[in-house]
Amino acid sequence: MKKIIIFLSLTILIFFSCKKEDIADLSDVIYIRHAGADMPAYIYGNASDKIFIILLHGGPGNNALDFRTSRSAKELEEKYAIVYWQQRGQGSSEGHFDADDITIDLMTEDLNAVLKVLKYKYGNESRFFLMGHSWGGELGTAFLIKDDNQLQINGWIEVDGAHDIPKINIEAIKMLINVGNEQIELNNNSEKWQDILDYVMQIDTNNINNETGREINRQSHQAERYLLNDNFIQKPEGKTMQDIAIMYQQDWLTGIISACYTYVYNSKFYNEIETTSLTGELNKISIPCLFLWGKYDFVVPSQLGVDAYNLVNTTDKKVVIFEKSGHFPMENQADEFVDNVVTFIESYK
Amino acid sequence: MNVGFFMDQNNSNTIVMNKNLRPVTLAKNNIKNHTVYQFPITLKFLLILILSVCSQIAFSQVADTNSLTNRQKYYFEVSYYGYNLIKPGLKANFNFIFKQKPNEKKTNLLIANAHLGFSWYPHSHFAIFNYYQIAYRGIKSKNGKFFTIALGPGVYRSIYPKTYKVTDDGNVEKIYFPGSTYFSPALTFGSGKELNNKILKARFIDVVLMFLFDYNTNIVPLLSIEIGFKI
Repeated sequence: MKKIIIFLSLTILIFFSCKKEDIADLSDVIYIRHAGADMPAYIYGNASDKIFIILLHGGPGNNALDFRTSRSAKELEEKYAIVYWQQRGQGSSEGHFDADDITIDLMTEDLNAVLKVLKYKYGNESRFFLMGHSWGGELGTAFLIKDDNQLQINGWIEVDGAHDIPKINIEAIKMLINVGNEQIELNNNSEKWQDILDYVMQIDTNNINNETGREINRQSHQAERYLLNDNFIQKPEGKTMQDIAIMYQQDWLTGIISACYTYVYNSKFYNEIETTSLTGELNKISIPCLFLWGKYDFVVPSQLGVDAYNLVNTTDKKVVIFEKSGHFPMENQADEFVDNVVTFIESYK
Repeated sequence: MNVGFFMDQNNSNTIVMNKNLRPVTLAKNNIKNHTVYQFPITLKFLLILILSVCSQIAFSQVADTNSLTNRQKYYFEVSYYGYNLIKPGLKANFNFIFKQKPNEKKTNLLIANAHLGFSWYPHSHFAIFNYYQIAYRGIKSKNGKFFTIALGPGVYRSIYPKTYKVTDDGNVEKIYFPGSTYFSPALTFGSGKELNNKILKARFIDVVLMFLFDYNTNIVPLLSIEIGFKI
């Protein structure tokens, strides 16, 4: 019994032991409590210059740490600190709140709370860049166009961001038809592309409901897989042991089930996401913007990036279309992705 | 089984059967202006399991525990507790045998037990949990192998690292002893073997399915594996 007590005591001591924070190689986790949600923010990287990239992950329902398994994240962490914020009800985020209360507006307030806490912890001199991928593009845009929120942000990096889902559906159909016909002419997966064409050609683009939107999204992912197999999209690099450790850190089962209840089965919020169109309000954004898109992104076609570039109210802007990328340019063309992000941050930090 | 609870807005209390899992208007079912409120599938599953265990206990033979000394009625178990199979933790169980019925082939036991443990979520947070179960254990006389099924209520608390709250007026406050508490009934299936050892009297491996109620907006299951010894 004595040995067991000693063993337990040592184990607890090891678990609770502290280590000094190394700002140049930050490895921190903090929780932000806001409106019933307890949301972790995992902060990794070099915070020497107090430059933070706040990652707005996709989904809704994905996990912020997914991005950390890409080489892009590893290289960016060498220069800046990345805040992997788990949005409410997703990843390892916890708490008690009502599904009916979830709105895009509430989630922009969550993001505001994250910013306040980061300033509180790391100082008001900290500088923040927002990077929103996919759904994170919709959330980030909604945040920036609200009140004076954008004054807190040095720059907005939208990566294949879904700031206008009704438009996405229409652009995805156009793209599936154009690329599908090209691929059939090239005799690449002709039968499979024909199936996609048969489906999208019969859609009434004036009347796309949520169910059709889901199916367009499914077909879009499928189309990207065909192009990946035929080398039109550059294959992502294989996962390393470090990536496996990052995946181990995530809480898959709980995260997926929780996200299903919070978003997939939450028809009220799902409907809000699917019908929100922020294109008309992009002119409210006046901070520096970088729009990064994959040429073969059918999930969120690059036309949205081009539109956003044209509509934001700033001259400090750039749009980059990666020629061999799909919905995840940070994985398909990591070097080019990192170069563009670093150049942007260095220009506006 | 898909039982729905149906609240008639004019005349309450009508029970209907429905396959859907979400509240739906009965317009879909050709009945207008009514709403169906249904039990989540996890609750239905839990209900069936509770009934199964209760029936197992109710129909088991009433035992004579006089043959056991007080010392034999109580025992401890310690175990490694791997949440989601691989996230590490430790657990200690206190057990009390309140019914025992031996026969030629096996010994049936009814055990009340209390569990206290913690899980470690590397580079994230900790969790402590405490649950109480009624367990049925059948031990084969021939080789000492046993199987266990147990069910009971509990409490689970996530313990966060540094946590900050943003108040309604926009100020940031540090929260002391931060965490989140959940009602967490646990269901256990396990097997093991009695050992001829003075210190380690048996070894066992259990699968523990814990349900956290009111986690974010609903319920989530936590699947764990427990490997331990009776001491």
